[in-house]
Amino acid sequence: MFGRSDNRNSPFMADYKITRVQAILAAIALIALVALGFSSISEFRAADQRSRILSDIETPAASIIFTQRETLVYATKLALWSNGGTPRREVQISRNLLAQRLSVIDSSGRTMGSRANQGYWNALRESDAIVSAAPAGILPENLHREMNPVLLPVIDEILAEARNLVVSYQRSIDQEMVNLAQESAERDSLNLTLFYIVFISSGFFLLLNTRSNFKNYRIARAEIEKERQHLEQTIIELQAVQNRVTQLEDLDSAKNALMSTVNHELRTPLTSIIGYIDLLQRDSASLSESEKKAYLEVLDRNSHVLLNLVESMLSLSKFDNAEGKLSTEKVELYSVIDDALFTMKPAIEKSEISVEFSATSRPLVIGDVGQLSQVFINLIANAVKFSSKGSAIRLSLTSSDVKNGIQIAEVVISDSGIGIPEEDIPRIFTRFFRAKNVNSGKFQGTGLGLSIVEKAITHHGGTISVTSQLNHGTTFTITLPRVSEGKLDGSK
Amino acid sequence: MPLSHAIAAKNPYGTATVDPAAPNEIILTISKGSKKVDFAYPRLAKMKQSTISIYEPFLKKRQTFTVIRLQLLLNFAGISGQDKVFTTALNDYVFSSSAKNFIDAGAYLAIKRDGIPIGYDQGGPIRIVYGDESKWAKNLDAWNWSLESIRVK
Repeated sequence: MFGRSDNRNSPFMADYKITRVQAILAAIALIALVALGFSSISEFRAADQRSRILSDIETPAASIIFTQRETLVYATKLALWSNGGTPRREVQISRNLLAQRLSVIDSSGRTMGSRANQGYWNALRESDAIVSAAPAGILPENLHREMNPVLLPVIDEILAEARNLVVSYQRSIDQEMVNLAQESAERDSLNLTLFYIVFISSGFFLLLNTRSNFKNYRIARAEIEKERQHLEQTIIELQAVQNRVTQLEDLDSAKNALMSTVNHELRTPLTSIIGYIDLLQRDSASLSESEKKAYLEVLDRNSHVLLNLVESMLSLSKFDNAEGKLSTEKVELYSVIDDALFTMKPAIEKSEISVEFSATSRPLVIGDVGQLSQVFINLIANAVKFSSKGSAIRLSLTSSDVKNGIQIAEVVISDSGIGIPEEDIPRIFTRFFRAKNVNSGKFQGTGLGLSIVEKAITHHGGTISVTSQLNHGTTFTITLPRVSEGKLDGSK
Repeated sequence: MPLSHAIAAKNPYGTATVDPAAPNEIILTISKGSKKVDFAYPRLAKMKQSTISIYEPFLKKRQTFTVIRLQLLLNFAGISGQDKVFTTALNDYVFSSSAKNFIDAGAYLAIKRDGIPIGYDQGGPIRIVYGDESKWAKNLDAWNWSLESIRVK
C-alpha cells in the first residue's frame, strides 16, 4: 500500500536510446566529419609543402634563374673558345656544370632539363658536336674564321632557346598555378559539401533527439506527477492510520477511564443502595418514619444516578447503531428547548441559577424529538452543573442566514461557569473524556454527555462549536438545517 | 687515372667528355690575406677522410660521399672564428658566411661519391656538403658545388 518496489518505469531509470534514423544520420555525420578531417589535413600538408618550397627547397623560379646563368656562362665560354680566348676544357667544364644545373630537382619535383624544349636540346647537341670535333686546348687561330660562322648561329640559338625556356617555364608555372587553384577550389568545394553534410546530418540528429528528449521529458513529468500523487495518497493514508492509532489510543484511555468511572459511578450508588436497603431490612422496626423517608430518598437518588448512566450509554449505543437513519418528523425547536428547560427546572431552581431564553423565530427541523431533547437537556445540565449559584444561563434561538444554500436554525447556550481548559477543548466531544478541571471528583459525570450531544447534532446534519474561557464560562453554538419557520410565540 | 675518365654515372643532360687536366692541376685554393694554400686532387686524396651518407637535396636522394672536414682545410690558412669566408665555384657562384658558421654547421669537402671521383656534371670534382643533422642541411645556398676556392679577404 505504501510505495512500490517496481521502479522499472521510473523516469530516472530510463535508458537513452536513439532511433535507426538517428543512427544513420550520426553515421553520415561521422563519416563526413572524418572525410572533412582528412581533407583538412591534406590541405594543411599541401600548405606546409608550399611554405617549405619558400624556405628550404629550391623553387622552380630559382632553378630557372640559375639555369639561365649557367647557359649564359656556357655561351660565353663557347664564344671565347671560338676566338682562342680559353681552352676547350673550360668549355667542356661549363657545359657539364650546365648539365649539373639542368639535373637539379626543384620543389615541383621536376628538373629544369625536363622543362626544356627540343630546340634547346638541339642547340646544345650541335654545340657539343662542334666542340668535340675541334682540337683540344686553345683553338688554333687558323680555325677561328672557320669556326665563327658555324658556332655563332649555334650560340644565338642556345641563347634564344634559353629565353624560350623561360617562357616555357613561365607557362608551366602558370599551368601549375591554375592546377593548384583548381585543386584548391575542388578541395574547398569538397570541404564545403562535407561541412554541409555534417551540419545537416547533425541538425536532423539533434532535431530528432530534441523531439525524443521532449517526449521523454513529458513521460518523466507524467511519472513524477504520478509518483507525487502516489506519495500524497500515501501521506494521507499514513495520516489516517496515525489518526486511527490516536483514536485507538484515546479509546483505550477512554476505556480505562470508563472502567474507572463505571467502577466509581456504579459502585458508589450501588454500595449506598445496598447499605440503605440492608439498614431498612435490619432496623425497620426501630427507624422512625422520617428516617425511613430520608433513606428512601437516598435510595431513589442513587437509583436515578445509575439509571442516568445506563441511559447515557444506551443513547450512545443507539447513535452508533442508527448511523444514517433519521426520523422524517418535523420538530419545532423552540418547544424542544422549552421542554428541556422545564425538565431541568428543579435543578435550575436548586442551584439558584437564572435562565434567559430568547427566540426570534420558531424554526422547524427534521429530526428525532427524543434525541434533540437529550441534546438540550445535556447542555443545560452541564451549564447548571458547572455554574456557581446565582449566575445566569442564556439561551437564544434564531433563524440564521442561509449557509451554503441551506436555511439554518441557530441555538446558542452560554454560561458563566468554570469554563474548559484550552488544551481540552478539541477533545470534549470524545467519549468518556472529562476536562481536567472537572475530573477531580467534585463534579460527577460520565464523560458521555457531550459525546451524545455531538453525535445527535451530527446525526441531524447540524454543527456544534464551543468557545470557552477558563473560569469565565462556556458558549455552545448549535446549527441545524431548518425546513420552514413557525410563528413566533414570544420569549421566556 | 684522369679525373674525367673515372666518372660512372652519366648526367642525362650533359656530356661526360672533359679534356684531361694538367698533372697536379690546382683544383682548390684556400687563402687568407697573403697566406695562400693550393690543393691538387692527389693532395686532397691524401688527407684524413671519412665516409658519410647524406640526403642530397638537389637530386633528392641519399648518397655516400668521401669527405674531409672543412675545418681541417680552413686551418691550413689560419681561417677561424669570425673570419668572413667566401666559397667560390667554377661558375663563379659565391656563398659566404663566417668561419664559425661553417664549422658549427659541420661543413665537409666531398672529394668522392660512391667511392669514385665526382664528375663536373655531378657537381665535382670537389663540393661542399653537410650532414643530415646540420643546421645548413636544407640551406641550399651553402651547398656550393664544383668548388674552386675558399678565401678570406
